[in-house]
Amino acid sequence: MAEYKGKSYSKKQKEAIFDNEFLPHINSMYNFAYRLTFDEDDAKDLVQDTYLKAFRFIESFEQGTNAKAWLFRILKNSFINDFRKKSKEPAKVDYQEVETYYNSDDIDQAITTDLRIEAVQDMIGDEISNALNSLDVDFRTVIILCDLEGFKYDEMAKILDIPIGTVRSRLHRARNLLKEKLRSYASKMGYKN
Amino acid sequence: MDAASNGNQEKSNHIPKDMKGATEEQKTCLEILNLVLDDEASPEQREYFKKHLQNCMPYYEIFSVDKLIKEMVRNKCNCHPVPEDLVDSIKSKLSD
Repeated sequence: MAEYKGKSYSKKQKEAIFDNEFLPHINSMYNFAYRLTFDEDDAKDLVQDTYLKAFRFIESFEQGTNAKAWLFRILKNSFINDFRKKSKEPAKVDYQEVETYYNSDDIDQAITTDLRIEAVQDMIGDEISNALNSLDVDFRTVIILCDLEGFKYDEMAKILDIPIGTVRSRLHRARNLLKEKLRSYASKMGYKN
Repeated sequence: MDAASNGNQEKSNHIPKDMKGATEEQKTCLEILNLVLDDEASPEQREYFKKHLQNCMPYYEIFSVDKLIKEMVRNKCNCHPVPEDLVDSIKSKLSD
């Protein structure tokens, strides 16, 4: 985004880009916003802010490039820079701190537990959804971007402003945490590992 | 040497889910599993997966669970419908 010099679009072109390339992604955008904020009004505000920003900076969007990734990046930045400051959520979680914590040996011990496919097959959507929601926002985000929205690693790296290697390790870590959560649901359902 | 008896013997039937407890070979295999799962593997890695991992029970189990969870996330976690007035609200703000 920063290196792109920008286009000069007419008013009509801007409206066409907005309607044809940006608005079709509103379902995914709202779902992402909701899973970040867990509140309908907050999610609405976040999506609205994102679309207004997208229109204001539409000249830094190059037609033919990935509009969805561009919008997700704006939404993610709005969430971190504007929304978290306004919300009741305490201090901003530091990515590095979280990763260091989850890379510690203590948590690794817990993650090596097994999860059998039969247990997962018997889960209805709620367990998966609740397990995803229970993850720290940075881990939740990579699962949403990759598994739910189907972004590639390089697109995720751009959306999150992190190297591809970090995308991969964070995703791996997030999946282990998700499995750990599902495993505890499986135990409650009576499955033994 | 203690190191020789420490861990390597379990290689064939126990794969740690986490990279830290894994041997170099296991790390590579787990990485390839993730790349195949996310459709990011190169043709060589895909070939390796087909030859060595697809028919290896412990890796097959990990891959099956990961794949199922990925599919369930995609199918079950997209359930928040957009409020009906949101698009209109955005458009009215744009024309202000």
